[in-house]
Order: sequence, then C-alpha cells, then structure tokens
Amino acid sequence: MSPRAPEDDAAYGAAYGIVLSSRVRLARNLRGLPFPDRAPPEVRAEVRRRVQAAARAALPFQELLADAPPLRRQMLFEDHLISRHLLEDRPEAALCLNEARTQSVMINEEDHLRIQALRPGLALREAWTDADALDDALEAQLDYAFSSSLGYLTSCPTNVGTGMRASAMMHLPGLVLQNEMEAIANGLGKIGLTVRGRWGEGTAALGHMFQVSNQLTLGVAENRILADLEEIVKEIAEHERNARERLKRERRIFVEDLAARARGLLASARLMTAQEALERLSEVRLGIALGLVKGIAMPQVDRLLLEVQPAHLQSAAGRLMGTEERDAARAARLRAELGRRPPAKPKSEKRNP
Amino acid sequence: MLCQNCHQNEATVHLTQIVDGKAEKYHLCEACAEQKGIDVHADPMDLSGMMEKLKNQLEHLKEDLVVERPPAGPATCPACGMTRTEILKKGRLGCDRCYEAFAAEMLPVVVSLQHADQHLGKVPRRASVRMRASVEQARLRRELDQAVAAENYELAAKLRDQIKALPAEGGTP
Repeated sequence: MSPRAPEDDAAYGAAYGIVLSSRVRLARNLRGLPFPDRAPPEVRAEVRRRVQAAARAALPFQELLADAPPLRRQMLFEDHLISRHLLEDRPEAALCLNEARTQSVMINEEDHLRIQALRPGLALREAWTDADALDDALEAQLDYAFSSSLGYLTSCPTNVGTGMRASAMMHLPGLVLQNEMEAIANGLGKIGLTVRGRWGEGTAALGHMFQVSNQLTLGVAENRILADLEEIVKEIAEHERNARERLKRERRIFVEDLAARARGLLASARLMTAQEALERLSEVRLGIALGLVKGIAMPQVDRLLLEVQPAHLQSAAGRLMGTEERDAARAARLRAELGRRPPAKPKSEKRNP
Repeated sequence: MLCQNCHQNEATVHLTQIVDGKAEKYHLCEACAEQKGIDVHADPMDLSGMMEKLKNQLEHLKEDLVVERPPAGPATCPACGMTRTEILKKGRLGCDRCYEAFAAEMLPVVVSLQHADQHLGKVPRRASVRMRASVEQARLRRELDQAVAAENYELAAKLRDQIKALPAEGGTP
C-alpha cells in the first residue's frame, strides 16, 4: 500500500465512514415463460442463453454458476455479487458482470433476471441511473413480463411493481453501543423500510454492518422510493455521528479500551474466527473514525473485512482449508498487516548517559 | 375453530377484509396466514401505528384500500399448470400469467403486502401505447387527488386536461 496523507484518510472517512455503499436491484422476468423455480431445465437454459446474449455488450464477463465449484460461488457471495439463493447448486444459474464488477445480472435466481448496480458511498440515485440504463439495454432485446396495474411481474409478490430493492450498507457501531439500534430498526419497519445485518441474521448484526432498504415496491415510483430512502439514510447517518460523538465525550475510556483491545487481538491472536475478526475490525474502524486509533487506515480495514472471510482466505491460499486451519490463516493474515512492528532500537542510552 | 384454509390447525389469526363493500371475516392458522403474506407476529397496536406513519410518509397509501375481488378463477394456471394450493403454500407464483389466473387470491395478498394496487413506476419501452397511457393515467390521477386535497385547483385543472389528452383506456393502441 502506498503511504496515505492524513487528509486522504479524513476524506475517505467522510465519504465512506458510515455509508459504505449503495445498491439498486431490479427483478425482471421474460414474458410468457415460467419463473425459474417452475421452469423445466430446457426453459431455464433458453432463458440463460437469451439473457446472456442480451447482456453480452454491457456485461461481457459471464460465467455459469451451476458448473462453478462451491468455493467460487462462496467467493462471489462474499463479494455481494450473487445472492444466498445462488450459493446452492441451481441449474442454469449464471452471472454476467462488467469489468469494474459494479454492474451485474444474476440469471435464473428467483426471477429470470436480477439486475444490480453498485456505487461506493451514499449514491442511491446514481446506482439507480446505472441499473435503469442497464435495464433499458437488456430490454431492447428482451420481452419483459409487465402488467399496467401490477408493473413488473415477479415470482414473489413482495417484489411486484417496480421490482426494485434499493439499499445502503451502513456501519453503525455508535447506535449499537448506545443501544439505539433496536428503536431505529423498529421505526424503519413502520415507514416501509427494512434494516438487516450485512452478516448474520436480524439485528444481531456482526461487525455493526447493516443494510437499510425499501420494503414496498408497488404504488410508488422509483424516484420517490429512492428519495425517501436517501432521506432516511441521511437521518440515520446523522444519528450515528451523534452517537459516536457522545461515545467519545461521555464514554471515552470505554470506547478507547474497546478499540485498543480489538487492535491488540487482531495484532497478536494465533486463531481467529470470521465472526471475531469482523467484530474486532469493526471496533478498530470505529476507533479510527473517532481518532483514537493511529497507524491503521480505514481503507485497509475495509479491505480486511472482505479478505478475512472464508472463501477469500481459501482463495488467497489456493486451497480448501478446515476450520482451524482457516482460523490460523486468518489470524496470520491479520497479524501480518496489523501486528506490531519489531521495536525500534532502544533510545535509553541517549537519554541516560 | 379450525383454519378455513387448511381445515387442520386451530385458527389463531382473525381478519376482516372489505370486499365489494361488504366485510368478510377470515379465520386462519398461523401457517396459512403467513403463506398469504399476513404478518402474524405484528402487534395489532403496532400495526395501526405503522399504517398511520405510512400514510404520512407515503402519500400513495389510501385509507381504505378496497380490494375488488374478481370472480374466483380456475384451480390451475392455464399457462404453467401451477395450482392455487401450491401458490398459497409456497407464496411464489409459477409464471406471469398466474397473476391473472389467480387474481382473486393474489390481489388481496399483493394489497396486504404492498398497501397498494397500482404500479406508478417505470414502464418498459416495448410496452404498448395503451399500457403506458394506463400507468401514466394512474400517476396523473394520484397527482390530481393530491392537488385537490391541497386545494391547488389550478394544478388540478391542468392535470385533468392531461388525463383527457391521454389515449383512451381500452382503446386501440
């Protein structure tokens, strides 16, 4: 890694410290063909061929997931490029990607097409613009299932209408540590939004990472959904900033201790589970944001959050590993980056001649 | 009382739905209610609060969204062969035609999940002129309702003219 100026770190923290990324997903189906769960293999194959051909220009990197080894699928799942649904061996499932891996189409997931666009930071409208353009390009060659009353027709009625799920990935340690997350999650449910953990289920989110998304897809235009979501995401981010400030002001020794212990474990442990790594990295990330941890940059932590996950570790090692072996490799990886450097030459002789 | 849907489990979820201006009562077991997309775990008080907030947040929500129930359709989808029982059990449809074939079952489910029954978003470019006009008309009508509610009659008149200028619903594309 090249050395970073402190102002770069500040800019990174301001842009991605709370909202890491924005995502828009569109569910689409081809007219007159059964949805993937209902379709016989030859229909699924036909759908895959048609969508792959339509996507070739925009998304030239295409792979068949059904043939892919489980580790490859797990890797794509950790990269957020395929859904949990596609971790299973699903016949004729495929993925089409652009070179930057920011735009994609999953084929034969729950719907024939799941179009996705990703943008760093809070950029929901930009992600929508990308997804919308990709949708137009695909539609130039595909005939979508659509009704003038129910909009885009989807396998599950929870997606009907716009077929759009927009989400923001948020790091919210302040709200969790101040015990405010549950109230916020309940409040969001009441205004048609959902919050779920990025890793793990429900609000028992690992590493304080949450995804906030719209729940309703019918009866509201895309721009309205995005504007409402953006407003709420900004509001949550503001609450998070306040919670962090209060932590630093009122519970400074507690939060300092939390970050320092986390750093110590990451720097010295010999075995570390994915869960522990995500939790400790999150605490260090908070420490960096509050200026309590020096010498580690937030982009490095964000990269490690991905690299410590099982498929990434095994992929880097070039082989499959058992649980303990993985925990050892993970700890070694973290130690190599975050471990204390060998102590500098003692200066005591100068001070005490 | 046994569940009206599966006739096996004790009915624990009791609902009143307004159909054709008449209140219809439903008694379902938890499993069947969940399949129909009814949030059985929501606190009733909580739910009314949710409706209140949603109404303020999302203007599209009508206070009493009456579900007009088309006459019950066939037991299987003519296009994909999916049966009504299967759909209610899985909570997933078999194909795009299922929405039409099982409109009697699906429309109330969609409304209970989405609190809406009319798409107002993007329309595929390939859609017929008539389809595009139909969504556009729904959107303008929503805006008209809002303009009238806000007593903005100048805007309301303009919207009325726009609605009139659209190709007639049900006409040739």
